[in-house]
Amino acid sequence: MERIEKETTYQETRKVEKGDFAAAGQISASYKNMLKRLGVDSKVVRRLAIASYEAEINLAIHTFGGSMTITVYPDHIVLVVKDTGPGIADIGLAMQEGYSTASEQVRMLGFGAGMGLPNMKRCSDTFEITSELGIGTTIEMGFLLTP
Amino acid sequence: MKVSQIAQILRAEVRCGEENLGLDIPYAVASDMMSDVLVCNDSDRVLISGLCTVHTVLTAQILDLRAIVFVRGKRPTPEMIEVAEENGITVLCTDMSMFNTCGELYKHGMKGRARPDGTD
Repeated sequence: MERIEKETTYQETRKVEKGDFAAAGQISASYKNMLKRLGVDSKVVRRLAIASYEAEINLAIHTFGGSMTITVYPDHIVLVVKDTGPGIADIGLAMQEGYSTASEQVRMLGFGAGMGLPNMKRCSDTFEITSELGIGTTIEMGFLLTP
Repeated sequence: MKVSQIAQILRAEVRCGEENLGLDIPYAVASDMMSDVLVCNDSDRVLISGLCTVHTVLTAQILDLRAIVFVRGKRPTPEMIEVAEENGITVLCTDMSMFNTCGELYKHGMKGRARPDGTD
C-alpha cells in the first residue's frame, strides 16, 4: 500500500453545481478511495468522508453552487468548502442540531434534518465557518492524520 | 448477528453481496433520514431503511457499513446494486414494515448503538 511521504502535499479542487443532488456524494466517495489508497487510518478516512458528504449535500441543496478543495499534508488534511451564496443569516442557529431550512422535497430524499453542520464539526478536529448574506459561506475543516 | 440470519429472520431477498452472508454485524440503525444515520460513525451496523435511493447506498459506503435492509417492499435500482457491489455492501429486501423489521431483529438479539450524545 502506498503511504504518504513526509514531503508529499496533494491538492484537488472540484465544483458542486446548484441542485445537482443526484451527483452529490461522488466527490466524497472519491476522497475516500484516494485516502484509503494513501494508507490513511480508516477511522480518519471515515470521519473526513462523513464531513465531506454532509458538505457536498449542503452545497447541492442549500447554495447557488460552490467548490470543495482538499489538501493533504504530511500530518493533516484540510477541506475547504466554499459557496457563492445565499449565505447564512444566523450561524449560531444553523449550528443547532435539528434546525434546518431544507425543503420538504429534500427531506423526502433523506436529508435536511438539521444535522449537517453540527455533524461536520463533530467529525473534524478543527472547524471554522464564516458567512455573509449575499456573498456566500466558507467552511474550513482540519483532520489530523493520527487517529 | 450474521447477515444470513438477518436475511432468514426477515424472509429477505439477497440482491447482492452474498460474500458477506457469514459476516457478524452486532448493531443496527433504522431511519429514512440519512442525515440521522450519518450522525454515528460506527461501521459495525446494518442500515435498515425505507428510503430507496442511491444516497442510501452512498451513506452505507461513506460509513463503511457492510449491509443494507430495504423495508416495506422497496426494491433498489440496477444503479444502486452496482454501487453496492462495487463497495462490497450486501443488499437485502424485505416486505416487512420498518417497525416489524426492527422488532424481529431486536427480539433475536440485535441492538442499536448509542448516539454520540450518549442517548440510545
